[in-house]
This record gives sequence, structure tokens and C-alpha cells, in this order.
Amino acid sequence: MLRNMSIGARMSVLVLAAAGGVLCLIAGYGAHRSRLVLKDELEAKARALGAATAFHIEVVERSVAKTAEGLAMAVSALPLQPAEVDDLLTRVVETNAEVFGSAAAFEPGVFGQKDPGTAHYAMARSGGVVLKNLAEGGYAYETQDWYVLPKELKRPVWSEPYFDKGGGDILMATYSVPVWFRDGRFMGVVTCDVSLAWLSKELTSLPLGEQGYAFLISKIGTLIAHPTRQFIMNESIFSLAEERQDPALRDLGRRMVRGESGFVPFRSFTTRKDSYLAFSPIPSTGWSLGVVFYKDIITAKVNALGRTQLALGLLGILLLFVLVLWISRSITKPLKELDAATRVLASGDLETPLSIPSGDDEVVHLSSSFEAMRLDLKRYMADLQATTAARERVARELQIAHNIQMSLVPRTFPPFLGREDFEIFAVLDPAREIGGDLYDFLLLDPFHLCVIIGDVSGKGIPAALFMAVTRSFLRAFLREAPDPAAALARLNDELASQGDTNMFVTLFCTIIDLRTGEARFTNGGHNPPYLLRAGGALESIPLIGGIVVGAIPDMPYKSGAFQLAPGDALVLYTDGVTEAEDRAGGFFGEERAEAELKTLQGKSAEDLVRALRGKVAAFAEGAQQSDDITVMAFKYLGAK
Amino acid sequence: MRRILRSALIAVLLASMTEAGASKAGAGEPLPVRLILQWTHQAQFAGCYVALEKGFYKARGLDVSLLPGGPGIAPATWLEEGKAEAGTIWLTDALVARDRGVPLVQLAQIVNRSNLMLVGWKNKGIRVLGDVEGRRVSLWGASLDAPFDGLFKARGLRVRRVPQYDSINLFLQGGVDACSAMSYNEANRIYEAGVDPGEVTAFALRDLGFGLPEDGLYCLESYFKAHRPECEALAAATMDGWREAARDPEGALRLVMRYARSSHVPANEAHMRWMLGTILPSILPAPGDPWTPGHLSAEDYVRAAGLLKGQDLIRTAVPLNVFRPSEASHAP
Repeated sequence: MLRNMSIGARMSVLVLAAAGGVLCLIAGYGAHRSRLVLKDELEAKARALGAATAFHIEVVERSVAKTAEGLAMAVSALPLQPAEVDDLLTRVVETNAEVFGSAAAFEPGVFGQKDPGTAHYAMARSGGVVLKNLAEGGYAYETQDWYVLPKELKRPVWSEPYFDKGGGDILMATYSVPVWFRDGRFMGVVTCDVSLAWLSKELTSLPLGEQGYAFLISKIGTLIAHPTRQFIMNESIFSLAEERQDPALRDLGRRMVRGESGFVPFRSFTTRKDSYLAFSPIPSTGWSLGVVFYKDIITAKVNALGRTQLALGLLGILLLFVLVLWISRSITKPLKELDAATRVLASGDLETPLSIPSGDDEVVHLSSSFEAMRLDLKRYMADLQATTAARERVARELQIAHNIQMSLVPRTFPPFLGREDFEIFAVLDPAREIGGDLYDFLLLDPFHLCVIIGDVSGKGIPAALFMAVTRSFLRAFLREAPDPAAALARLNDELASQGDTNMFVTLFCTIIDLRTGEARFTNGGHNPPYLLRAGGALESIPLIGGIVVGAIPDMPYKSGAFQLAPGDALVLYTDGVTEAEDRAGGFFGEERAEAELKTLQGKSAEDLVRALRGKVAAFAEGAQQSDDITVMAFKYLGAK
Repeated sequence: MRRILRSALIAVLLASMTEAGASKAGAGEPLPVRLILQWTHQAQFAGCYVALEKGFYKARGLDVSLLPGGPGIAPATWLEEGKAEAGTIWLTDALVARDRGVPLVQLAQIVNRSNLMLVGWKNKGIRVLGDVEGRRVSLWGASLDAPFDGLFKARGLRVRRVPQYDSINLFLQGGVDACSAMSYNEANRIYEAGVDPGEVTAFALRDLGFGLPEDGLYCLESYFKAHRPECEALAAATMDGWREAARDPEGALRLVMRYARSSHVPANEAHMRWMLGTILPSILPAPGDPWTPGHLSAEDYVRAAGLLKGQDLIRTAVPLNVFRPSEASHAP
């Protein structure tokens, strides 16, 4: 998919993906770190709060304990009358705000055999201090923990919190101090009660808000203060652990009642929310204070931080996106321009120059290369055009020359209507470039036919023009004096005098008396024609000497003669026939021409020409024709 | 037409007879019965709550009200003083009371298997029973101690007895080396105070040959004579309540918690579930257990009386048929 995108888009996507990944890592690490920092902060706060609160409770309880111990000293040291005991207890309750009630309970029988035991009790009520004897009303004080425990343990004891039915009738905890006579006999117990209502108030007044809560457990794990009132005195941390089948909670409870302090992950009893718990002991009572902080306050803070980070990150990515887009545009813009320019180039427009951006980077190099290529191409195209024009000119010239050539030779057969004393037929197949064959025949008078065949040296228009000149001169000279040798000599002089053209022509010229079959001829360097006798014999026109016409002035040309009988055929040709090449480069040759001609006896002039031409074509087998091929046949039929 | 009428009449008669047969006490106004429980509301009395709340008492023509007991409340005294018509009482307590002249009769022996235990601190060296020799042991006192004393006497052990009242805090604070406990109550309270089972050694008295039947349903002899069908109905309905509690313990637990909460007794569900689960097998026998639900065997009676006599807690015991004049609830 990436491969189908533009470079700019690909760059943007990759850079953004990388940046996004890095951002996520940073954000994740940041969240983790801040979570740890916040947890540490929370731990410090929770521990401090727990310790401070525990200390506060401890102070109150110590002061209560001190009061009770002072009271115990007074009771044991002084022989007191019951009224004095009541007065003392009243003062204790009146002067100590923390002390809800105070008792001096004496062991039954200590004041005589019939002593049923008395328990003086003073307690704070809204109207003032109320006094009573706990021994009255079926309240068996001597069976109560607050009495039994110090007595049996022989030391002051904080009782487990209890609902004092028949005593204070409130949830309280009692500090009990055993008192002995000087002789070591157990006298009884003096106590100070602390209402636990203030503890709950104390805990709910902690600055925890919605972030958590605090609770207090007794020495045996009983919940003494907790936001859920239902738990207080009913549940212990261990019963909750049992109820929730949570062994970890039980372990925690054991740590707490052992007087340890700590900070641990915790699941709230009531809300079941993931939290942290800081716990600290209250040494005097053996209680333990727990401060619970909900984990989600950390989560909320981290999330808030995370949201900020995310917003900043997204903004950053957006900026990055714009930046990357801009950078990639600036990089790809010259590329795009180059792309557009090369498209123009590819369409054939080599004129529009490529704009080369400034600088010295890869794109600039590429652009420069393309510009160089454009210029090279342009130059090449210009060269090509020039070459093509030249070639076309040559071709045109050749065409013109060809047209001239073809217009100079008679091409209407039979040329003389109504003549039954002879047949004449010729073909001239010009080669593509090299040309210069000519043939001609004309009736000088009704009884004399002049037949000419020749081959001009050179090619193109000069050759054609030379041919035209040759033909015109020759015709003119022959009309003036029907003598082939004289005509050729004059022609030679004329052509040679034309200057330094270096052109010449081979010519065979004969004038046949159509009445007698007598023929006079001259030859200027041309292949001697054949005579195909009516009887089948093949003869060559005798060689009489004579050089090519137009090369050197003042050359003599001899006359020769031969006799034609009716049915004889004169076959004229140019070297294009004998020098026709096959594919292997072999020549058609005179022997082959003679052999072929021998087979053509009796044929009409046209058939003869066509047959020989056919043989040459068959020999060449489609090989490039290198010279004009001209074959002409004159068949003498005899005077009628 | 006449035949149809006659058939209908017979059907009605039969129906009313069947009803009367099933609930002899059902005719007329339901009889008000105050039933005093030997302790505060807890799962120990789940069968009574279920019988009352499910209408088992009412179906048998009884209008039962349950009175919670607690520290300082002796059901035998309440019966004697006429503050209640019926009560749940320990077998040994009942025998002692009877010997002291309170004419109690048993209507049902609810708990037939002993739940008494002795629990000692391992860290104070209590690992086998012999380790209690000379150690401070807290005991409830009076007739409840009879099995313990019988055991100690039989094993030749002397312990330093400390009175145990309504809490185990003295034990938990280390004031004694061992204490008496009910398997369904204190044993779990110790656990719920954060003491792990491995930290204490528990001895079940029934395993040591001193297990006695415990909770029973009692009334005064005079009341029984005056209201014998109602007394038998009370016993039967109570046992039905226990069977229902066994069938649907969670339903029973909900009732227990409701009663405990309504009387502001400290209670938590975990402990009450434990209590119910522990006491039920001592009431309703598993296959192979030697007792019949609700029934006091002559053997157990004689053994209990012998133990009490041996410790001079009673002088004599009345014959079983006097102590247990009705076998109405004998049948399961």
C-alpha cells in the first residue's frame, strides 16, 4: 500500500508513525513514572495522616489511662468512704472531657464476709454527671471483661470496645487498672471509659474527602470505627476476610493487630474499589488505624496528566504533520516539476527548457542530467532532420532523373502502327540509384529504322540530363546524316566538348534498311548485341572497335554491317543483364544469356524480351538490382 | 343428586377429620407460648426462627414468641418464675435445675452431639491434653464444666481454674493458657480474632469420651400436663424448623441475621454461617450417627446424670420417663 503512495505521503505516514510510536512510549513511560510518583506522594500523605491520627488517638487514650492510673493510686492509697469515692469519680468525669465514665469496682467480699461488692460509677450525661452502683440491677460487673481482664492479667488493660448494656449504655472502651491492698489482696478495679463516638467523629473529620476513608480496628480485629456503621462491632477484619474468602485481607489484619505499620494495596471492604491502605498502630490500646485512599484518585490524576500529554502530543503530531508535508513538498516539488518536464520531453517537445532548481542536491543533478539529455536529443533531432532532408533531396533527384530517363525512352508498343515488316519491343527496369540506360528507335524515313541502346556513366540528374542531351544530339545528327559512325563521332565531339563533366555514354547504334534487311551499325563501347537467326543460330554483332562516347574528343568510330533475313531478331541489352547478380554475388554472364537466347528462337520481339528479362529476374532471385536492366529486341519480318 | 350431596358431605367430613388429626391443638385460638432462648440471638437457635417465620408453630396452633437470653439470664429460672412457658436449656443445666427443685421436663433434645471444646495456646505449650496440667484454664463454671471436670478427673489432671464469662478476651490477651469453647461459636471467634488454626490446639470433648447432649427444649412439668399436645407440637415444629434450616441454610442464615440485628447483638454473617454449619450436624444426624433427632437416648441421660452426680452437682436424677414424659417427637 505504501508503495502506491506519493513520496510525500509516504514520508508523512512513516515519520508520523515513528513520531507517534515515540510519543506513545514517552507518554506511557510518563504515565508510569507519574503513577509511581503520585503513589509515593499518596503513600507519604497516607502514612503521615495515619500516623498523625493514630498519635492523636494515642494522646487522648494515654491521658485517659493516666487519669485512671491516678485514680487507682488515690483509691488504693486512701481509705475512702463510699461518698468520697463517688465524689472522686464525679470530679474525674467532670474534669476530663475525654472520660465518658469512671468506675471504682470493688471485689465482692473485700469489705467483709457479707459484702456483695460495690461498683461506683460516674458517667457524663447531658444534664451533668450521673452516679450509680453497677452492682445493682443485675449487672454482674465482676464478670465483665473490664473487670476480669485487669484482675486476671494483673495489669492495666484496655478492654475490647463493647456496648455497655446496663453500664454506660453506649459503645465504649474502658481502661481498667487493678488495685491491690498493701497486703497484696485484690481490691478491685478502677476504670475510665472512652466513648467511641468521638473516634468515629475524629476519623470522619480527616481531610480525605471523596478520596478515601479511615477505619479503626481493635486488638482482635473488630471494627471500631468505619464509615459503614453496620460493620462497627459486628464485623472484624477477619470475619470480612472470611466472608469475602480473601486470605490476603486476613494476613493484612494479622499484620495490623500485631502493631505493624505499612502501606499496601487494598480492596475497600464496602466499595470493593482498588485502593491503598496505610496502617499505623495505636500502641496503648493495641488498636490499628487504617487510612484508605482510592487508587482511582491516582488514576484520575494520571489520566488528567495523560489527557494533557495526549492533547499536547496530538498538537505536536499535527505540527509535525504540517512540517513533514511542507518538507516533503519542498523535496518533491522539483521532482514533480521534473516529472512534468520529462513528460513534455517525452511527448516530443524538446524546445521547452527544464528549470533547474538552485542548489547542489540529487534532484538538481537529476534535473541537470535531464536538461543535458534534452539538449543532446535536440541536437540529434536537428542532425537527423538535416540528414533526412539531404537524403530526401537525393531521392527526389533520383526520382527526377528517373522521370527524365523514362520520359526519354519510347514506351509505347507497338510504336509504329501499321508496320508489319518488323517488331520492336523494349523494357527498361531502372535500378534504384544507379541509372543511365537508354534505348531509342526512330524511323528516319519509311524504310530506314534507327535502333539505339546505350548506357550513360554516372547517376542522378546529371546522368539523366546527359542522356537527354545524348538522345537529342544523336537524333538530330542521325536525321541530318543517316550514318551511325558519323553521328557517333559528332556526338562524341559534342559531348566531350561540354567540359569537364567526366561523363560519357556507351552507345550501339544501327540503321536497318527495312526493305532489304541490310543494317549498318557503329558501336561506342557498348556490349555487342546478338543476332538470333531465324534458323536458330546465335551470332554476336562483330566487334569493330570504338570507345565510349563523350570521354575523349576526336575519336573515330567505325561502321560495321550485318544482314537480317526475315525472322531474324536483333537482341540488344545493357550490362545490367550480364552483370545481374544472384544472392551469392555471381553474375548472369554472357554464356548464360546466349544459352537462354538460343531457346527463344521464333518468339515475337515482345515475348523474347520478356522471356529474357524473366530469366534474369529468376536468376537474381530478388537480390538487390544494382544497375538498370534494359533489353530490346528487333525482329525483322521482311518487306511486304 | 342426593348421592352427590352425600359424597360431598363425606369428603368435607373426612377433610376436617384429617386436619384435626394432623393438628390436634389447631382448634380454636392459637396458644401463646413464650420461648426463652439460652443466649442472645444467633444461629444456635436457627431452627426456632425458621419454625416461627415459616409458620410451623402457627400451623400447629401455637403463637410462639421468642425471647432472647444472654448474660445473667437463666431460662430455668424464667420458667420457674413464669416469665416464659418454654425454654432452651443445656441438658446438664436442666438436670441440675431439676435436682434443685425446678420441675423441668424435656420436650426435645435438640443438640445430641457435644460441641464442647478446650482450646489452648500452642505458644504456651498446650499441644496435648496433658499439657494443661497446672495451667490456667478458663471454664464457664457450674454444670457446663461437668464434662471438663469429668475429663480432667478421669485423666488425673489438675488445672488452675479461672472463671470464664461471656467473652474469650482473657484467652486472647493471654490471661489463660486454655479456655472452654463451643465448636460452633468460640472456636470460630478465636479464628475471627486473627488467630490462625495452627496457633492453637483444640480438643473436642466428644472425641475424648466426655461429649454430652446439649441444647434441649424444656417446660415445667405442670405446664406439660396442662398443655401436653401443645408441648409436643412445639417440639415437633421446632425440629421441623431445624430440618428446614438444613434444607435451606442460606434462608435460615438470613433469618438469623435479621434476629441478631433487631436485638443489636454483634453478629456477622461469616460467623453465623460457621455457627449454623457447625451446629446442624450435631442436631440432625448424618447416616451412621447414633441418635434420633429430637430424642434423648437413655444411655446419654444416664451418662449425663452420672457425670453430674460424680461431681456432686446433683444428688439424684429422676427417671428418664419423668424427665422426658413425652416421646411425641420421638418419631423422625
